[in-house]
Amino acid sequence: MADLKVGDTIPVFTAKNDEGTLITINPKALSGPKVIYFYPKDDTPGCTKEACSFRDSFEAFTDLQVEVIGISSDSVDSHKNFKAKHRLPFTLLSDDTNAIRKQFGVKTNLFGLLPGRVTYVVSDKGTIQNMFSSQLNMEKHVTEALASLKKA
Amino acid sequence: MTKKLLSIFLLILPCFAFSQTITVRNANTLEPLELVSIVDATTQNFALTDAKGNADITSLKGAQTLTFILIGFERLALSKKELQLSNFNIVLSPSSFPLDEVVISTTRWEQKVTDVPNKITVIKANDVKVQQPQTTADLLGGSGYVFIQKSQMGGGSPMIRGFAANRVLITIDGVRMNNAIFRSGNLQNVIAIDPFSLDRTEIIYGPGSVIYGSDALGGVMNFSTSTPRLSGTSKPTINGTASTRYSSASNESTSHFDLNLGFKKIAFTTSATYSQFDDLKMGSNGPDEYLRTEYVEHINGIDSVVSNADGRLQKFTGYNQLNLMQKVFFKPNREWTFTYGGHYSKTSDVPRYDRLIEHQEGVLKSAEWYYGPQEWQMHTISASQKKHTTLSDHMQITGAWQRFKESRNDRRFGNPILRHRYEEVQVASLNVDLEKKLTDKHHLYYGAELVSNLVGSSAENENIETGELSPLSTRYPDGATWNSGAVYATWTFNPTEKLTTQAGIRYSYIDIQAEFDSSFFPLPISSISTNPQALNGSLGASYRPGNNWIFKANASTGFRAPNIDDIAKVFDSEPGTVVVPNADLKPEYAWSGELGLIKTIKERIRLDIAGFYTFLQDALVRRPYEINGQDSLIYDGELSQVQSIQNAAQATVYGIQAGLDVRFSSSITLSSKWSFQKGEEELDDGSISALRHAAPTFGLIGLTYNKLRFRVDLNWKYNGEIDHNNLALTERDKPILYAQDTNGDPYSPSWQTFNLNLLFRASDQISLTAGVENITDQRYRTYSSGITAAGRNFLVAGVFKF
Repeated sequence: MADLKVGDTIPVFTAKNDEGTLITINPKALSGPKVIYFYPKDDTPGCTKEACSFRDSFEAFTDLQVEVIGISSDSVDSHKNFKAKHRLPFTLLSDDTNAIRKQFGVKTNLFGLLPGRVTYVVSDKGTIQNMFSSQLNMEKHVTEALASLKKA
Repeated sequence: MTKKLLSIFLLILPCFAFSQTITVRNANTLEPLELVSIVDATTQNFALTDAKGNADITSLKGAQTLTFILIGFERLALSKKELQLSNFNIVLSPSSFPLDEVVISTTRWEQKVTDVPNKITVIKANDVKVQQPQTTADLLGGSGYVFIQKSQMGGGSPMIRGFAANRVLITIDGVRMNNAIFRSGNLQNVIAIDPFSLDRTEIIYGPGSVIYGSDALGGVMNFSTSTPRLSGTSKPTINGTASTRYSSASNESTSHFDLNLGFKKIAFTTSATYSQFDDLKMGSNGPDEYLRTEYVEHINGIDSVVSNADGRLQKFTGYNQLNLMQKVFFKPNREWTFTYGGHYSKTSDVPRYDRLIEHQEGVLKSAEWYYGPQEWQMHTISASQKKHTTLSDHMQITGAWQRFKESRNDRRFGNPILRHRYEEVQVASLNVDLEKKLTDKHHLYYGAELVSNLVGSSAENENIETGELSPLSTRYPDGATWNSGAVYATWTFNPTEKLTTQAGIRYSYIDIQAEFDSSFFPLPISSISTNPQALNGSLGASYRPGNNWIFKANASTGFRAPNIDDIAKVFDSEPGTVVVPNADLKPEYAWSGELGLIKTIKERIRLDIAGFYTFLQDALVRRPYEINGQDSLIYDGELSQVQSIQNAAQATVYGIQAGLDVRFSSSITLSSKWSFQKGEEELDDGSISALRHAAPTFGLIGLTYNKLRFRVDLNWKYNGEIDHNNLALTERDKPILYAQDTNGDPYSPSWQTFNLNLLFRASDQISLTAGVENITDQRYRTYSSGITAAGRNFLVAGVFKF
């Protein structure tokens, strides 16, 4: 699958959330706009910083009626612990086979040792309004996503 | 009866004797010697001495003769009887000029230094103890062949054979430290390495690109950190060092602690060092231009110029640094060893002194300019296998991950906006190295290397009055990557015992990707994807005709692939100029030739001379450039000339490095090192300028007395002048760094210092050092430095070994 870019429609994908429930995201049947962010690994310094930034700005997203979804290859249990430990108010999906990552075409760094960190802002129609990729600027994922939502 | 008793005694004694420990010491200083091999030539069984010089030789009890071997010492063979007569206290005499020294840098494998065609110097852990360098940059400077530039006290940029910064390579335990944002201007990354953690440092002069790849043009500084020592027996060993140092010129206090815990098959080494430096005081005798007459303070919300009560005190130079290291060594069997190395280094904020003394229109330009904490961590895991297979006799695989964090922070005088530019680089690397003895005369060393760099870059403006943050252009494109893959091989051939020839070749493929943020500048390109390749090689020989002559010759090519800093940097590198990306860069190549000779006369005098000539082709240099047909643009509010790095120039550098060692007696020695280098580079208009990183002539002469409890070192360090006409044009544009000649033009004056150091070995456990550096209190700057060197400096240090 080619890398998704701004203007593309996101693919349909299915994954277990942090409670172990299978959920499906279908671009044709979205409940509203979404911020979908891919991150490397639960409870590592960078990912914790990024997740906590989304948490701290959560109200701004809910005000805009936008749902935040985090995706990594960690297990449901790992997500559950990560979410509880940092009191994360949003959904984490377990992409344990990296299938969703491949569907979106999220690249890796350092010879594949470091899974990519990319945030997609998706409209209620399922199209990508904006995307932001930065492995090392964690907080900017949040500020960029909010800025792009406010612009729209 | 007496005869009978004696024979009984002689029969019993060996059993009695061999149940005890043997101690080996240095004949000169009586210090315990570690890692002495005690070998039974008949059975090839051996024992090793520990840190206290002790070895349990129970397993050697059947031996008729024992041989004591340690590199750098005369070999000693003792019969059973002689051993008994010595009362099991053995002393070894240091060799006059050891020829059995082994180096690892030229092929990544052990080779005799006499067989290697390059010039190499080795700095050992003991030299650190004697020299007491404040940083690893100072340690390199102590070698006498490496020139150190400093822009600030937390600095130290090595210049080797006319090259510096990203044209010389730093490796730690074989892993490259040069990352994708190493710039061409002076660098201070080498200070992240803790001199106390080093077992040995090897400096290869000239290109080392065949083995080490990009950047190894002027030389390679290969740092080996200490390896944990196994106990060798079922009884665990524990030993370590605690040391402390104070020096007066910067009010430095340094504390260090290391601990080695050795078991039979696994060993651990922990090392920690903390240094704190206050502002550095310069000397009394020298140019007044170097005085720090004033500085900026932010008083009641207003930037104010304050007169410095003591102009010799360089306000805003102090900083502190923490270094930690943990290593684990595991040897499950004779075939395999595994090593983990964890390194962490972090400084406080480091004020950029040369920027703080810069004036604009008569007023200090910056209110603040500091590097944020420089942080480096590296984790390596390596596996080494010694087994004769078709592919190799010895194989080593090393995986490493490094992370660098740094930031630049500056605020103009009277301006409330503090600019922060943050960088983070992560590097993963994998090295596979193999050694294979093909026949008695042919040896093959080969391997492959993968390196991946990921660059993170962010920036923001901070209004210090309101606390408001606003966007700022980043120094590098965030998320840029620099990856390389390479294969290499070196072959050595010894046609006779007198001759060793060596040939090497390397192919490297580099992939560079960057996407530019166009929100700040209308850049002509939005992304770069480029794949430079490099093929380079080396050919050399070492000829040892006898009569203590050694001749060395080598020709080699080194390369430096463009990195993210070359290709994608957007920042005001100097006032009034802006550097923009250039996608069309190729590697630059150095073609270098070297001739060397070493002559030892009557075991008392050793002369070591090497001459070199290097031609740099397609040199990456900064040149005027046009962007959308414009040769200038407004950048950071200032009309700035547009420049980019281009393969635009050629450069040449040639020089001589000469060493003379004289051994007046076993305890009195003289050592002299002298370096001369002259470099030129061609400018766009065809004119010739002196090469920026060709240091002035420099050297040192040291006289050492080393006997029993005392070691006294007296040395004379000297640097030649670079007059205004011979100063590189780019340096003439930075008059703030230089003194003024009679015409008022900038030049780099000559200087010399005398230094005295006294080491007292109070016991096997305790040694004390006291020294006076720069005895005559000279006020001097090393060439191209922003900071003035320390004035008279009193130093005291104590080391406790347990």
